[in-house]
Amino acid sequence: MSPPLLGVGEEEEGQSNVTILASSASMDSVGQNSSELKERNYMGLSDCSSVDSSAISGVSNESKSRMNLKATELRLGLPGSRSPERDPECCLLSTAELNEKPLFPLHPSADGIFSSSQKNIVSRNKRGFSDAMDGFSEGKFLANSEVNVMLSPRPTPNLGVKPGSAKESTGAPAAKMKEIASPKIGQDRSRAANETSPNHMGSANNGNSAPATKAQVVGWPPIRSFRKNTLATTSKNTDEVDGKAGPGALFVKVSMDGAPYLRKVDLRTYSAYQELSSALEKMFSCFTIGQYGSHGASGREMLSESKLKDLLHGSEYVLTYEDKDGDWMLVGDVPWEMFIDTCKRLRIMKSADAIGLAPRAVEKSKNRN
Amino acid sequence: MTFFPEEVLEHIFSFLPSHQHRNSISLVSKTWFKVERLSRHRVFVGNCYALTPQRLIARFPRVRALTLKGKPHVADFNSVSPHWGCFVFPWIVALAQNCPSLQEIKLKRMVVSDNSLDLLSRSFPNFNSLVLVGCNGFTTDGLAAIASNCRLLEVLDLQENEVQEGISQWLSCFPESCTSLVSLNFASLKGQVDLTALEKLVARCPNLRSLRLNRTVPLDMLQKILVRAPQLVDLGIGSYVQQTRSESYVKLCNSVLNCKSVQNLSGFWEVFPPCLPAIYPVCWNLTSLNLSYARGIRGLHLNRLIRQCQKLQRLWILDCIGDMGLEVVANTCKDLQELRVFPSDPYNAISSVTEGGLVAISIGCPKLHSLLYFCLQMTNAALITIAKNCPNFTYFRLCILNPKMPDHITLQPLDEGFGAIVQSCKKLRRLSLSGFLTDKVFLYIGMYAEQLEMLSVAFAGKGDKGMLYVLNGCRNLRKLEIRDSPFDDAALLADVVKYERMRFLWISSCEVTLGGCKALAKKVPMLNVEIINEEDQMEENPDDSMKVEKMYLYRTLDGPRKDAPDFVWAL
Repeated sequence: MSPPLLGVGEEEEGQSNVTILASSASMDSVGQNSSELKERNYMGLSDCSSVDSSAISGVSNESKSRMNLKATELRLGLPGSRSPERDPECCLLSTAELNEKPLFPLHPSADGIFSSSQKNIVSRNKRGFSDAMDGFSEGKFLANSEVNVMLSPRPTPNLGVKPGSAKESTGAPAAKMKEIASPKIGQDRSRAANETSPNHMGSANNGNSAPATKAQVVGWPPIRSFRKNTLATTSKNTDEVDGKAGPGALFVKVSMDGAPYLRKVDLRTYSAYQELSSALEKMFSCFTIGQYGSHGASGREMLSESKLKDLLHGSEYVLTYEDKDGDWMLVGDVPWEMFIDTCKRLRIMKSADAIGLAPRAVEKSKNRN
Repeated sequence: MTFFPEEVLEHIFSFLPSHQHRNSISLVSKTWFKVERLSRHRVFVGNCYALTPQRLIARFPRVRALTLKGKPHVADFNSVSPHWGCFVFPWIVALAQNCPSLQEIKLKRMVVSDNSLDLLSRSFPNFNSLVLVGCNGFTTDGLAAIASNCRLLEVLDLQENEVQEGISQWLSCFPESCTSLVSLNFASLKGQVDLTALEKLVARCPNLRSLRLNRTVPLDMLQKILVRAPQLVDLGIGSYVQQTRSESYVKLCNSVLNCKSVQNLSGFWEVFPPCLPAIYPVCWNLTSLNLSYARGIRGLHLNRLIRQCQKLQRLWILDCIGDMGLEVVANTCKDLQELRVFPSDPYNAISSVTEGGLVAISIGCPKLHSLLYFCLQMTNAALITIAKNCPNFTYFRLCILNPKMPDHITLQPLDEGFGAIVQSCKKLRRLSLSGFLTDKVFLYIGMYAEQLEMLSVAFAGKGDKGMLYVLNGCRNLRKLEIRDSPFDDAALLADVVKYERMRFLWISSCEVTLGGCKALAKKVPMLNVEIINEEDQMEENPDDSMKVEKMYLYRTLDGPRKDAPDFVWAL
């Protein structure tokens, strides 16, 4: 269905203008039902067509240039509807200058349904059903939708698709709608596949590096509001805590055989073995461990038997560490994160002393190979 | 049988396990009815508007433990305005006047004000248990009243409520004389608690079995608590962040070793994963693990943790566990009975779990009977396999995050997959559908899901036959919620008698019109038909052909409710 197209549209927004032009071309091929939705390139490559919502378009041009592309997305419906579970990123968009009051309904006008009474519009636009049918745009997110619709010519092919299917849903029995939807799934998917990097799963997975928020249907997915709110607020907090950042610095003693004094290094300031090695090299200038890979996988290639022997015989020293269990291990075998968890102190050992360790490493690499 | 003295009857009835059984036997004769009602101490009300408090008290004057459920299930997802109703205050008032021996109250999805909590705390001298699930409307001041005034409090269990911060430090309000706490769950509260008061409280409550901390309680306090309460069976960890080299952490490792009884573990609102090994010693005995708020535990750390938990029966997890992690679960947790996989990023439709993970679980965990699974994609083949592997499902809730997704390989509707589930799982009581579905799935449900009690439908169906298949086929259906599906007045009005056997029917964003609802209301006077008309969708004199946004239909003994706000129209 249209989801892949949505994802496509959002990806393309992050890309160059050329893509947008290309998408404008494809828009024609979709066969717009609505005359009010023209190609618009708000990156300044073509003239804006005049439109009812000129006031909004002017405003939203500015907001577009200001705001993060990640906030662009397709949401359709009347402006002025409430959107209780709006994501903070959506709020960025919605609070930007757009009034809550309805100005014009882009979606309904695209449908051609707008010609009928206000009531019908209101009831049509509050519906999650047809909107969701057409890619999860929802009447509640109208403020967003207007801006987005105008700012993203790419997704307007959706609108071309939508009016047809939306009309089906209102006028005709729903059976028609499904039938139309299914072939369109194929269409949309092939189009999407042709025009963008196939970075979407069967759904509107935004391949963006920036987490673009999708058009949201009210009350869907069915997650308790407590959980929803908690996820929204904690996403930043936990990211800081887990994994790399950790609570503060991680200083470990580094001793070198024969050196008159020890040093301390903060393991958290490095993200790979290579960095640690270079830093220690600088600190203890006669030391080399640059050969160890930053990860078991690449280390494997490095630690071929011959290479390791050369290393050890060529250089006087090896880098070892004491782990939580009190054992002395060769640095470089385990993934970096695991290493900094378990490392208690470092020791730059004479290679003669390290003979007990080195063969183990070679065996390990043999086993891996 | 009618010659038994009433005391004997009462004694016999006391062995009946559930209120459903008691409901049945009270229909046998007038004597039985009388004996039963006077001896029923535990009362369950599935819909607080099904009857007035006065009627409840009239029938069960000796109620000691009351469970009240309020808003319909969809209210959890913001589909119902917070002002819609389900206020507990009138209930507390009525109970305070007539049932002073009330001991326990459990409320779900109700509006609870600080006044209600205050009145509650002062009206029932034997009150010992308050459980609030998914409620809102109160602040920590209400909790302070409970803490201060309920001398014999044993259970204060707050699950996923929206609690505002008040002025009081509620935890400090537990008096020194309070030593009776058995269960304290404040994990979902956002505010700070006085940590010293918390430690002292834990120290003086020797019966404490269940303690769930919120995210403001740091790891070193957790360690102190574990020292004071090594007998804990249910532990909810707040913040779990510390340097693994620190003295705090080492102490924690030692304290955990003394906690030999922990069976439920939850929380981890903040976590530094390298600290996880400290709790490994309790994992071997865990039967329930809730990591659904632990966004910081993932990847290798998560898999390692799961591998420690071989006795697990219930697992609540985020979808960042991925299919690989689910395979670890499948290989480790052979006794798994309940699995819930929540979306960590639902609005960006990013998920690491697919149908593959669920299939792996079904292979490794044949005892699985309760499932809630959020994912991005599904196939009929996977569902058919799952149905074959796990025929014991009682709860099967599948939520494909994007509406109306078909089988992502064949692009067919998911009718066959869900059909296989209902056909294979004869004990299925609750089913939630999602994905692209036609009327066929309802035909299957009507044909096979004989035990079905609750059905949730969204974005499904082709015409109005679907509802008819379900209503005709599922004799035990009590709760039906339908949204964004093409059901119209014809379906709604086809068999109205069935609605009297149901607790509620919820229809939103379908093809049902105002006229249809009016006709329905005329046909079923014993039921309340409410139209929820938020955002002024309908003007003063709306046309009958207008589509109704939300309709909530429920049976009641006491007619339309008096506390409906303006935007709710009772027909």
